[in-house]
Amino acid sequence: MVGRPALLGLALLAAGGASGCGLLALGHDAVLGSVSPVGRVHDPAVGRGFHVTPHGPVADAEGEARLRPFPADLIHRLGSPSSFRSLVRGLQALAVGTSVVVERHDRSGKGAAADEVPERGASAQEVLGRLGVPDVWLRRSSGSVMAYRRKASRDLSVNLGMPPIAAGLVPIPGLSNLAFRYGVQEERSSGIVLFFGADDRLLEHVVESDETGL
Amino acid sequence: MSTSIRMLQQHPLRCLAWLTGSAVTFCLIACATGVERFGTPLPMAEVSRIEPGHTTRSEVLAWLGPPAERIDGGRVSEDEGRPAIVPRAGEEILLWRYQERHEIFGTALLYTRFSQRTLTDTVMIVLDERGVVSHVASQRQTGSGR
Repeated sequence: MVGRPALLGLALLAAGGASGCGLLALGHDAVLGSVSPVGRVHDPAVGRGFHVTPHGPVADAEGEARLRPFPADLIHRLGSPSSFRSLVRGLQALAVGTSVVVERHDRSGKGAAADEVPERGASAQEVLGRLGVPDVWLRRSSGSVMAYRRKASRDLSVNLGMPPIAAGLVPIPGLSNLAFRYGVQEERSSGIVLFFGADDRLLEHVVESDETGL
Repeated sequence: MSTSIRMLQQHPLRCLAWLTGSAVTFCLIACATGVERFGTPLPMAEVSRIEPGHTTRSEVLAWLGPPAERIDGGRVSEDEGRPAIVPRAGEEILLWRYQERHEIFGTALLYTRFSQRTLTDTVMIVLDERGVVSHVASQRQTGSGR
């Protein structure tokens, strides 16, 4: 019969082995690290400056500290509200890594409509009052250029291949290397460019066609 | 004794397999929405008090508070939500900025979709060599702000 203290000790050892600092994490990184949907586990777990990007967790590993038992900034990680954001980002990165089809949409900028532009000869202040803060404004004594832009992007990727765990179970060398990947990246923008003279009066404007139908 | 408890007692492994499969399937379907906020909401009501040619730098700082960015040498590269502005010699540009990033994330089995929209409130003040406001512009995309 195994007593409760022994069971508790075994449970703690198992938790340590299964954590990002243990041998299981090192084994995962050595065997699956490059193809695993969670990425490398040990370096982000024990390093400093831990944060999660859409492509997975990253951190400064501070050299080859492979046997560090816990992260250097453990207290900061546990106490910081950003740790919950990192948790959500990590789950999103895991879902992206295990999905066959991944679609991403980004939209930013306000742009400006052609009918909002004042008449030729309007002052720069009148244009700013009508259209708002420009995205680009190059001012020179001989004249200036102002631009407003709206941007939309769409990424679509299809990944077909043997899952890492299944590839390890099938005894066929190189099977895990069989993969099909198809990706489409689209970025469209629309906006207006305005040209001003040395007296800060509107000379001309050019409208970029609105292709942000994404 | 209910039918489900009797079923659990007679076929424990089958019930466990059904529960495990249901849990895995549930975990493979998820949706999350959220808003990330950068900075503090801008005092848009104070911007209407600023008059080009009259309002001074100290008045602007007193009404709007410290700016997020100050430009007097020019910046060419444009980051998301940050305007690229190159002022004339002797000019100074102050920028206040508040940004919200709305995200919708959904995953269903093997399909994942992520949608993100960035909304930015910006106030820009251009000061001439005397420290007087020459140009003022504001832009409001979020519903926040005082």
